Amino acid sequence: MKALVQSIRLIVFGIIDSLMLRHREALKGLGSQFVSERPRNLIVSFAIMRVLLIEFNVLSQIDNLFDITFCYFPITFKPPPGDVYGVTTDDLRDGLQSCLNATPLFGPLALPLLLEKLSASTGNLKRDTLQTLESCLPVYGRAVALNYAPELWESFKIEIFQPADPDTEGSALRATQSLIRTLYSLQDIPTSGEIQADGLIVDIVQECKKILREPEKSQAQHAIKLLSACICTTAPIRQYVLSQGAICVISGSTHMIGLSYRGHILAGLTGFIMAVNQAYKSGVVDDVEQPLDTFKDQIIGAFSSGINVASCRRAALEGLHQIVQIRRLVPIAELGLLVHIINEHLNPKEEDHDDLRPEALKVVLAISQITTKPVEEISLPHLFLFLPDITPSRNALREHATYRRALDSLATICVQPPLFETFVIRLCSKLDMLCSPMRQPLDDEADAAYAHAILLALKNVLVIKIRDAHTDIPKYLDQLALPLYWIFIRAAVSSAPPLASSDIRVVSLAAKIITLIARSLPLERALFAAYQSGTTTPLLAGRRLPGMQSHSPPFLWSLVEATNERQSLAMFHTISSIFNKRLEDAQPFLQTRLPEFWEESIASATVPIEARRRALLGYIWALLVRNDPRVNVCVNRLFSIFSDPQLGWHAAKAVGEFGRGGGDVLTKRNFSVIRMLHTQRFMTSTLPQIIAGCKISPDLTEHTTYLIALTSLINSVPKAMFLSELPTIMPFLLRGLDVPDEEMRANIINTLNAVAKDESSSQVNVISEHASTIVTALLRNADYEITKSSRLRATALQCLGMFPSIVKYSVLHPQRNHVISRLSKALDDPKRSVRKEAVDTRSHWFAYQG
Amino acid sequence: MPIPTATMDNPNPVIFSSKKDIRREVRSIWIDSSEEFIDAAEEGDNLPEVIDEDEIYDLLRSITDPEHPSTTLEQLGVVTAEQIKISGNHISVRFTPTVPHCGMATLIGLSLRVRLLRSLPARFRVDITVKEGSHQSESALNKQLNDKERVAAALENTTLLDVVNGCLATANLRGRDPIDAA
Amino acid sequence: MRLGRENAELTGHEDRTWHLAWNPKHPLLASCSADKSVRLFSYGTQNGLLDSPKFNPATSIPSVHSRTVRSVAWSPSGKSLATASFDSTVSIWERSSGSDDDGTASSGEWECVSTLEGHESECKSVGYSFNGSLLASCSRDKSVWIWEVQPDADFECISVLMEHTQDVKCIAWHPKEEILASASYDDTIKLYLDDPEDDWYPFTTLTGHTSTVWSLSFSPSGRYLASCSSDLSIKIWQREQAPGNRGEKWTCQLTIPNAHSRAIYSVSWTIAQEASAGSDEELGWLASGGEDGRINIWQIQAPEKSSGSNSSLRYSLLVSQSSAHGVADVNAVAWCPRDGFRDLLGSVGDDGLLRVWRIELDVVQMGPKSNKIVHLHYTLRELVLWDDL
Repeated sequence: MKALVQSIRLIVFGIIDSLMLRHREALKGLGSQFVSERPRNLIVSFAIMRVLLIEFNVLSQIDNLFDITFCYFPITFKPPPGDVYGVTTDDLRDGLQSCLNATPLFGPLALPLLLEKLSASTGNLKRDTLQTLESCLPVYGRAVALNYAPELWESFKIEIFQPADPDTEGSALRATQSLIRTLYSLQDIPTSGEIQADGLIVDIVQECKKILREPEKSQAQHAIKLLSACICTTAPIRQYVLSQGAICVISGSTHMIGLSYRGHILAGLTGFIMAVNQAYKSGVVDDVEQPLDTFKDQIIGAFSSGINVASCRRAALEGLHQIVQIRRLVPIAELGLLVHIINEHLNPKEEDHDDLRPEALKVVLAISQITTKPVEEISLPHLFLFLPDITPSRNALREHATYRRALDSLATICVQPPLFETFVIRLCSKLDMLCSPMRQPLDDEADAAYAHAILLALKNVLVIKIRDAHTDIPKYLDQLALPLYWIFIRAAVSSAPPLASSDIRVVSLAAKIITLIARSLPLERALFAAYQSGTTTPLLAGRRLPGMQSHSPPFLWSLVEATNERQSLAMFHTISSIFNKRLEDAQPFLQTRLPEFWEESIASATVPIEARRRALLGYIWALLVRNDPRVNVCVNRLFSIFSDPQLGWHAAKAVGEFGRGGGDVLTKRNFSVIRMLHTQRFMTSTLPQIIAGCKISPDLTEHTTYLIALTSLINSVPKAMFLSELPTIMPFLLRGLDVPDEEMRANIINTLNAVAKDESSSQVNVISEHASTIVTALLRNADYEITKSSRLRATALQCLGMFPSIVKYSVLHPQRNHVISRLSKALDDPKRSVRKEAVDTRSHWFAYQG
Repeated sequence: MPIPTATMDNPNPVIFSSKKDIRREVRSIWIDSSEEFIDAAEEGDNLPEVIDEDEIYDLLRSITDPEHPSTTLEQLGVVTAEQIKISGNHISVRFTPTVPHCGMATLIGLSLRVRLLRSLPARFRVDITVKEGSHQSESALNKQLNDKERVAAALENTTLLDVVNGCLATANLRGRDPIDAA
Repeated sequence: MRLGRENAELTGHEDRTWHLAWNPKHPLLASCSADKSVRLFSYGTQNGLLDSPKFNPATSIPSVHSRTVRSVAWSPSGKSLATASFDSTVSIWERSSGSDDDGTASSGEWECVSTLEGHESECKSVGYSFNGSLLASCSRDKSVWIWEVQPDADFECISVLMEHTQDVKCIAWHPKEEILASASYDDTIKLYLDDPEDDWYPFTTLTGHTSTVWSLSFSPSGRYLASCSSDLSIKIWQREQAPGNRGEKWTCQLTIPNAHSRAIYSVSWTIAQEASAGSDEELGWLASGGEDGRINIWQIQAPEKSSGSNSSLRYSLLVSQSSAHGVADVNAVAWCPRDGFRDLLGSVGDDGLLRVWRIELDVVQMGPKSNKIVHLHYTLRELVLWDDL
């Protein structure tokens, strides 16, 4: 601005000034109406105002500027449902805040008014005030904050010690932090051990110390939260609070004669350590600072002795979990000692340990992230002891529970590479033993269950390692996937494989592990693995196809002969993954073999229906191969059999399968080549055809077939792809909610759920329009005498539970009592999971009021 | 709205740690809870899972105290799993007010009653009582909480109903931390 | 023994139904509910008997009450209907002109002709004296009010009785004299008389119940009073001395312990029917209903003559109908007071429904022909409330 010559500056100034004046007049005339009618303009004027306040010398006009800004506080605007401009309450609130915290000059003017608002408001408005204070105080500066500090603190205190709700409590704590930062921003980190402080923080700490004399009471919890918040401010404050607060708590723990409140004391201590951890995480602690150094021994002493007292064991474990995570605090040797102590509470035989086992394991896991050595030397041998060589009989549930606990515990802590390696070696040798064809098991089924539990433990750790992107996974192609592969191959070729290596549950779990590993491999190794699993999967499904080649046509035919769903599905997955990667091999297949296959195995009425159905599934999976123009021709063949009374239904479902683009088999993770656009193009070409089909007479069977195709398709694609068509397809969806086919109803309700969850979407209005019909249909779907699938019932209830928040009360209020009374039946659903949804949904409807 | 300290019956009650996951018995040698085997067959089996004490406790634990809107009845030790008994269609819930002169006991009892009225099948009959010796007007309280006519009349009082609804606002959390749940 | 149910279900009120009352002169039945409305049902008659077992909704009175309508009562003439509500008022309803004497004609509308204000909190029960000259009401404010019924729907409060220490749950008038009874949350029953020189006064307090007394019903002769309570018992109180003087005494002659397994909300007394009627010993039938969802019918008989004078009344359970309102509580039962229809029993429950039952006698013969044992077996048969559902 200064770059402009004086005269132009004056003009700009004049324009803005007159704008401001006119604005103010308009404002006076319209009052709050102005806010509700023109929220967009307001956003713009807030932005202008902020610039004005920051860039210009506004000192002489400050009172006026403040008045015209502050009169908007607090923002009470609520966007109308389906608002097209998309201005939210938060946008306005942020805009106003950015003006109020634009200049320190507002400080003396704003603070008294904000204090007044704080005591007079509740709920959202109170939170808004607290947040505004939080953002303004640092700008207003120390001097003005000091003037109002006692009053501010008195107001915050009420919200902290008698919180109306967790949100307000959090806002009050953050505002207090802001106040403290502002007041003590100039203080340096003390160099000597003696910490000096004065002013507000002394009052706060003194007050909290008084409250902490009764650590078991509710006020103590608030005091700890408050001190924790102070810990997260600045280094000197942190030192002061810890030295005063921590000493107070620890001295409490040693001086307390009775043990009954020790758990509360330890929990308080844990609160402080968590705060320090939090401070580290948020980056407010620098590398030099070691805030807990002075108290370390006392704290660890309090926790490790606490472990031996049942009433405070949980608190002690939680405390240890926090303290071992503090950077460079606990030396390695001491960590080993802690592992020892905790080990005593990890006995897999002890049912009593179950309550606290997860807490104990959490500590060991945290230690393993710092050093694996003590865990490997102490925890692992202890737990491996409980994996028996002789499987307990199927009636010995207690013994089965023991090894399961050991496996669970191992799976929790063996995440770090060295630990995982030991874990895999030990478990593989157990599996090898269980699955050996030479084995003469005492109890075949018990063996299988044991093998299953072992595989599940392996799988669970793998899932975690994949989530955390561990780099050691690829080596387990050799160390785990191949050994597993051979274990099951060996069994498959033996004349009488033991159940432990042939039970479908065990085998599919092993296959899953192999897939998990294969997914994590770099591409060139993955191709190899894909071939491996290509041959593995049919083997796992109980078929041996020697010399099979990936593009061999008989392979496709073979699935027509497969004997069960699981087997054929496994094979479809295989075909698809292989063709997908080896497209050049698939060319002749797509060009000639697939049409032949269609004619011979699907279109031909002489083939038994079961076989045709299977062939159809295979056909679809083969089509999923790749984005190829010929594929669309093949897809269109599907529509030609929609009228087939026996196959039409399956063909319709297949359309959805296609839309999903291969589900979780042909995903990127499996290195399949899938393109979103591919699905999009498919939708664009297919949807109109399906919608047209839905419009034909409802008396024809094809009508239902098209409905199925529609629901199955939209359920399998991202909702953005059909959202614009929602008004057209909604009536069909509603009709579909009454058909007997539960899968179809589930698809529709999932779709409705997806649409309803996105409240901002304008398409929510489509649901509102049909609300009454949908509600009635959902109630039927939630009825356990009508709907067999418990998952569908639960989903229907969930969907119903969203209505009070997305549909205006005036639309549905005539149905409120009816819904509530009908839901009482769902409260008695045979399944617990459904009842839970029914309770939640019903309580939402009770709260549904005008 | 926070209630001023001066008028609170118990401004600083004892806090109890919440009960963690509810343990269920091992019934099979197979770990069948893993997601792989919940297929259509099991989903549709509808073998009844009866409503038990733990389920009732789950319904009640996260109701809040009218005097301490951010503290649950579980944390205050007002309701515990051990104080719930089911036999057939009869449920008995005992609760322990934080102090014997707690004037909020009626409201707490009413909240428990309303929660169960709204969440349980109509076939259940529920008795709600305060633990013996835990309240100075124990018998009056018990009588009032189990008089359906007085409960019905109380729930037509909108001020009272607002307070009860406030206490029930977090009930669906079932012991979870509000922050985790969000 | 059981209550047989034919086909009847009336989806009536939108919320819990609290109470019902049979019109003493016309084929009309009223029920009231937490949904703030009152509904009327009619039934067909021919030659003084039930025409067909069908009851039809006649009209719904979207009442003037702002809260639950807790209780309904007809005047002895059958022309006025009183309603008591949680909104602390009592309303009086009469049919506007155009109605015929039959009462079933749909021409006249039911109109609120008077609203009695005075109670400080929820009004819980209302009732007319035997000749219709007095009306009594009671409330959670612990008081019982007696109103004089004057011409032109005018009511004057002539007495406010503040005798109970807790809510008054129910009042009942003696069938032949001006004696009023009230039952309370304070576990007691009080009886009141009018002192011609002075005011109404309580002449006795009946104690014995150990919890809330919910409902009262005088025997048709007026010599007995039945009460039921949350203590699970039914008690029968007997008038001991010459009526009308200050020394009049009522004593407990019979306690039926555990008459229901949960709180008993309602009792209703009628003269006995058919085979058992007519004997000197016969005191009639008592119907009871409560939180356990049952309707029980008790036969009450005088002490056997052979035994000493101190022996007490006898009772037997004639019918016990479980799940009379599905899984819901039974809130009220009432026998029809009209000649020819005394075998009809109405009940209402938390399911919002009104049900009408007829007690029927089946004779069951058991054993070989030569040695027959004849059982008199009563059942309650539910009547169809309307047929187009």
